[in-house]
Amino acid sequence: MKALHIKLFRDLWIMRGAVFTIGLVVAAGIAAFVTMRGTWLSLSSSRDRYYAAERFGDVFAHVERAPATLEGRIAEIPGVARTYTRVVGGARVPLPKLDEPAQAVVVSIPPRGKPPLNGVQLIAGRLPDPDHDDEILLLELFALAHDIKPGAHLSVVIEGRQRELRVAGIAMSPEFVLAVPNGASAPAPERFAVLWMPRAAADAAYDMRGAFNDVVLELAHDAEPERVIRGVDQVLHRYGGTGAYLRARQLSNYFLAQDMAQLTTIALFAPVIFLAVAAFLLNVVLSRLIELDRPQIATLKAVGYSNLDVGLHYLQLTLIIALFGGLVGVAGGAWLGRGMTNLYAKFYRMPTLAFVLEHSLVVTALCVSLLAGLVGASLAVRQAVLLPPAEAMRPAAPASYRRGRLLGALITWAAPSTRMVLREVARRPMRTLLGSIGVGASVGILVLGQFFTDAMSFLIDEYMQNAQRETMAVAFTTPVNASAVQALSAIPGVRDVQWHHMLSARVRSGHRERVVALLGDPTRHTLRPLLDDQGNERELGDDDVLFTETLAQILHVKAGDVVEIEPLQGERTVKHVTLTGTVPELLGLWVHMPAEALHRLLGVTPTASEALLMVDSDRVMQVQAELTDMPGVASVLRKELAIAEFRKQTSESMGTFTMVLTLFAVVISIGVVYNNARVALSLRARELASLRVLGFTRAEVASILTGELAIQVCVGIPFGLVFGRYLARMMLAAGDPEAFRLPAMISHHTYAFAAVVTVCAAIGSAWLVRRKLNDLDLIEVLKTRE
Amino acid sequence: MTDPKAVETQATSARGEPVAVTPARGEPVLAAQGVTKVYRMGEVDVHALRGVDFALHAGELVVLLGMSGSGKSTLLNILGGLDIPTAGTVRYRGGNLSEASERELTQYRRTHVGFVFQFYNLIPSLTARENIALVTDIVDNPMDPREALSLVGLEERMDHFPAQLSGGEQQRVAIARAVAKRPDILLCDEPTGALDFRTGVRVLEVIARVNREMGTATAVITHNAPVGDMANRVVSLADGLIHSERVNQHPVSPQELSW
Repeated sequence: MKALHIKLFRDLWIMRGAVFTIGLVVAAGIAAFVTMRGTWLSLSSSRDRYYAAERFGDVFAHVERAPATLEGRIAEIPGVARTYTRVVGGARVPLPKLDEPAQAVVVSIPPRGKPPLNGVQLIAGRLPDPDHDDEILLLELFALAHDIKPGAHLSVVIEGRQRELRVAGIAMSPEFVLAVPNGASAPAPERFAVLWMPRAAADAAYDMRGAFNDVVLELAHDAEPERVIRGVDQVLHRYGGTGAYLRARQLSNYFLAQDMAQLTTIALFAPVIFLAVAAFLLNVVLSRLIELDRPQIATLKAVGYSNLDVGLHYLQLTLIIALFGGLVGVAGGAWLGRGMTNLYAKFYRMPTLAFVLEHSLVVTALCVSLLAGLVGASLAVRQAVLLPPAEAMRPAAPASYRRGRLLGALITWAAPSTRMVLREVARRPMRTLLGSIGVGASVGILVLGQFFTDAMSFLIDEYMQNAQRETMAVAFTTPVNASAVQALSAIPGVRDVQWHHMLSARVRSGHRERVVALLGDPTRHTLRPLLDDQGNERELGDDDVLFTETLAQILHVKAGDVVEIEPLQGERTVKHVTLTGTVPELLGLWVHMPAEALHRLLGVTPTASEALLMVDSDRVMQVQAELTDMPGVASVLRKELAIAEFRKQTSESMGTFTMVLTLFAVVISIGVVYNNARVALSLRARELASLRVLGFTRAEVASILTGELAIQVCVGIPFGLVFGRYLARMMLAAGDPEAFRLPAMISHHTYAFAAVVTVCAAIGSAWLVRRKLNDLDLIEVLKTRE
Repeated sequence: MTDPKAVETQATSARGEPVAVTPARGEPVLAAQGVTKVYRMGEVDVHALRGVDFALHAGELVVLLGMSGSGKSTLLNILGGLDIPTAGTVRYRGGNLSEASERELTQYRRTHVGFVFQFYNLIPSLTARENIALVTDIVDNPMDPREALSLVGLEERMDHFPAQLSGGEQQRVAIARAVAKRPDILLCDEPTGALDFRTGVRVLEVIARVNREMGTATAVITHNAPVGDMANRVVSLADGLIHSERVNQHPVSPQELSW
């Protein structure tokens, strides 16, 4: 090995504290990248494989009842490559463990062989015997949640009739990668079942002989999806079609895509912050190292090493640190990614969902870490390259301190050690500022980590509790007469009944269009009030047509603009309405208008798709049981339960996420504070040793060093709190606003947490440096040349 | 006072004739003419050299004598290719160093010059042998580091780090490092400045021995006038100018020096 390489490795060993802490910051960034990106890649490749293997459909449509002959007409629509008609119906599965029956979907399967589209994969047991109309396949997620094995009997309510079915086998399907009950905003595997039933049995159960009520399409490669959808809607319209939709809007796929989009955002975001901090730290530490190494650099150049040799030497030093960080990061990321993928695998069932660390990802991660090293080193290395050898041979000119006016006045009042601290800060404000920025970055990451929990609890408290005031929501299989809904108030325990009518509609303005939920509200909707920005209730005027803010932004419309609305039910004629205003909304895209106006628009008698009930707390279970058994009721969703499930799922996934980010932020905090202190110590060792000789105590000398750190931390924390808020907003802006609009709500608790964690990390670093200071050999330091 | 004859000789050789070294006083290996150097230190200009003519001949040992601030270190840095003059020319075997590029200067230092510094400038993280290897790694036909160390009498200390060596030992390692490349020129900047008398004499002995046995043209900077007695020639600098020059007909051995 060449002597210069030996020097490289010995130097690395000498500065191992910095190598380790900076390496860890790089590792944090790379780990975040590998975790998120790796999980995304694993999810996306197993999803794509699964979808392809089981021929997951491209277009889906539901219809009330269409004659079997209609399939031929759908197949003729240009762009349709394959059609598969089937019977899909609702059901309920009462289980002793559940205080309300689980929702179920019955899906027909061909008597023999696999469905041509939306395949079903048998995991355990066997396929149902088509000659027995009581045999089914059960969704694996539900079977797992309730420990149901093949051969078990299941009591199921289909079309109001209780039946005993036998579970022939356990299965999964790309159509139900995750189990989201109707109306819920989070997966709930124990409350949602899928029962695959041979076609003849399903026909009999739902009275669909010679007919179908659901169609799945595969598109040709050159198909124009929108045209196919219009074609399908035209064909099915007369038979009660509810509007064909693309795979992107298929519920299970949609939720999966949402989570994956979130991963992409974080995969981009977190590493950029971490690596920027790491690059910054590398720059700080390396510049100091080069300052301290001046005589050595001069010697190398004097004995004939070129600028390039010297530059490469210091570059190698940083690249080794970065590579160390990169390797630790890849290993850590692979470990975290495995954990994260396993967490996903609990909710998302795919046959091959496992974390795969692709070579290309490892290479990218290492390249990214080297790039961070390169960026961080570039300025400092340039400094070493440009250092003229003769100048380096001379000691650096003594630092020039000034008395400064404002600070000068302040300084004269201070004790000598405080004066030294303040003068140092005043002399090198950039260094203090850069140190503060580093501290601020870690505070910001801490805020970001906690922010999701804050936003989620805001969503639950403010939105689900405040804006959805009902005890339970009852969805009907088909819209029912409004007067019939009022009859629900006769059920004992029901204090108030309100209803609304919700349907899908396509809203268009110019070339921009979206499929939205069109909601006809009663004029005084006290259970689901419309709230303005301040949280005040707002009444709906007779002519009001209100868009949610996100929708108005997407369509680029404002109050007074005329937009086209095409209801995806009933007559489906395109109408023009004038937008009268916007309302804030956290979830989804909505259009609110008075129910009367909606019914006029649709040309139908007043009907309701959903009823909202306020129920006496001691009668909730009885009311729910009564409603559940009522014909025409699709689902009864208790708000309390929905919130509990939402909370459970978010705390599970967010908990991990928060913990990881907090850990990373602590790493950064220590990395910044420790390295700044180490650098300050090595640069000022002589000065500090002189003070000791003059009779200053260890504690007094340490206070000079820690005083500087304290200033950095004090400046860094408020900056970091603001930065964290900014990061949270940026992250929200990067996410998909159409689905989920988290409020940029950050609690005081989060701010306090971030500040306290940073202060603790700073104290820990100060302690480490204090130990170094105690080890300082005064005589040796003073003997060396300035 | 300058030696016009020396300048004349140097000017001739600069035209490209092969350099012939005469035993007593040959062609200059290195020659500076009218060299000035102005530094900008903060807000003031410092005139470190104000027009110096100087020549170093093959095989000779010159002592550059001067007080602190006389410009002797600046001259040495310029002669060694560590710095370039503000005006004037420096020629090494006919090549103009004052117009050389950074790369050419590096090559010049790498191949032809050995430096010895007042504070040794050893790399603290490398052992004595490795400090020498630092140089032998990058030149053609170097000495073996062990051989260089035995030349300065430190063979048995080769695996010690600088911190484990005394000041005199460190300086001898530095000399070994400077001569290991078999340089044409050895430039020593206050080599005894940080050492006590006895150790200083030992170091000077090594320098004299290298000059004698290897024939390396050597320039030693010092503020210590008695050191001049060991040189073939003593050049005194003051205030950025050459103040006087004297030739020693009978240089003494360093052991006979006293200060």
